[in-house]
Amino acid sequence: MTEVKHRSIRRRLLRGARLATLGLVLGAVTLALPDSSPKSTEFALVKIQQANAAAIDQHVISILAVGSDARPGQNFTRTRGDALQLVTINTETHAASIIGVPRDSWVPIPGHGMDKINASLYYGGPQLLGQTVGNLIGVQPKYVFVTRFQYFQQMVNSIGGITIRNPSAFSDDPLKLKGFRAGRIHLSGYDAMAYSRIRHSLPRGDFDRSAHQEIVLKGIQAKVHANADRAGFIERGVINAMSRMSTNLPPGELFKLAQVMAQVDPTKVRACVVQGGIGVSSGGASIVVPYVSQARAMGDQVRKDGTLTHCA
Amino acid sequence: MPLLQAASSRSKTTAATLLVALALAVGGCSGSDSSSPAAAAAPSNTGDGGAQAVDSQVFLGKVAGTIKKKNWKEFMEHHQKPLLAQVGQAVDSWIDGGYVGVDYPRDSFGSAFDAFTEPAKRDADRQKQLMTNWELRNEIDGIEVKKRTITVDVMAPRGRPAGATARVDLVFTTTGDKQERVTVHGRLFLSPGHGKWHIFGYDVSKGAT
Repeated sequence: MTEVKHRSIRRRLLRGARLATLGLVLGAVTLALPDSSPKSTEFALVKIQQANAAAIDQHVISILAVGSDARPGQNFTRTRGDALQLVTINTETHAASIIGVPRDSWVPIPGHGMDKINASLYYGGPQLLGQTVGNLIGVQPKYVFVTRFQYFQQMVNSIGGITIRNPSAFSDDPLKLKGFRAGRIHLSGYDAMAYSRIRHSLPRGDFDRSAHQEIVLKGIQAKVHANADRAGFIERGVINAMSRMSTNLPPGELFKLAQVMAQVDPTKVRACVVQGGIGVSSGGASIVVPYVSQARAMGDQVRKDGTLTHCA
Repeated sequence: MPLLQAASSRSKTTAATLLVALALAVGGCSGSDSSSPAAAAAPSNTGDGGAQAVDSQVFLGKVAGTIKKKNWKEFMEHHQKPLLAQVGQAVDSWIDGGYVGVDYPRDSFGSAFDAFTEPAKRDADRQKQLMTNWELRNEIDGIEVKKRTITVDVMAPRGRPAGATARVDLVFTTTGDKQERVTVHGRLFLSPGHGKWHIFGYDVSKGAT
């Protein structure tokens, strides 16, 4: 008689030297990207110098993932950030949260007065954008990851696309005429880009788009997680990513970040979008006036253990 | 087949073993981002502990960052051997200290996580039912190793190792009141620092029949 005891508890943990992690987006980057050449710099990963790093539990690492709208030839770290997602990972529990910020959020930008939040990338690069988003939510990211949408497409293609659960059907004339049906769907790189960018046809515009970006990030992370145990998968992905990356991080830290990201349990990822009212700036631009108290309430949750129990 | 039994000394046998270098016959090849696994074999070390451990077989797995011939050469000539030795040593210190290189019965596994970073050590200690032979510690009097292999995937930009994943397969049977066949399988994540490789994370599962 054979008694079978199975303690399959999968425990992983990472945390080394409190270094950080890159988030869900880096996950995509750390995937097996095609090793073609020549390679151009397609994304930047910047470690933010913080004076108040101790404010966040050492198990918790925050990364601001930014999709830049830079056109070819433009400096993508000095244009406007179109997608803004603050990803926070608990390296002990392997849970994560994503807080989306509408790009038109009208906020104070340190040293530049009131402006749309995404303008801070133009004014001061990843560091200032990280600070501005951090001030809104109350959680300062340790890393800021910026990529342009074109490269984002390549990243998703390189992992064979992603599978997501789309809450509602929608379409868009120039980007996706046939649209996306509701339910479980597969997205290619182009589809993921379109899914993340479409705004005009969505009932709640920028808020819905931000939620869609979060769905895509979760899909990417789940795909990375599912492949992480393939021999050499993370190692190869990081090497390939490095060839296209501008960063102030050493390779060893990138490796740790990638492992941290890959270990996040996809079932433990919760996403929320900062809500707000629609308004017009003094200059006549359409803006979102973010509900700062709601953003701070999300930040308060995340600061505790990196997770969101509700969207506040 | 060596029978590992509790012996007098509690000091751990660090069976850091490495069968170095034999056959990486790929030596001069133009370097691929993923070398096929090649066995490394090394002289076994002898621990001074009570249990007489079977040394791990350490293999080189996938290597990324060496696609250029000069980088591959850099890795093979200068880094491969010490890398396998040091990673093998770090992983063996866990295998020995946590499962097969210690005496039974026993109360603790104090040296199991010596090669872990401090945060990883704290977490592993909280998960000692998984990361050591904790649940059987007082019900067995010996262990027989059936399989013990470590395969090391390496991230080596320009041929210089900066991170590694050790894939571990450990199978052993126990003797005493509880006679079980235990399988420990998973990955350990390592980074270099101060002349050693440190385990900063893991993804491990354990089963017993």
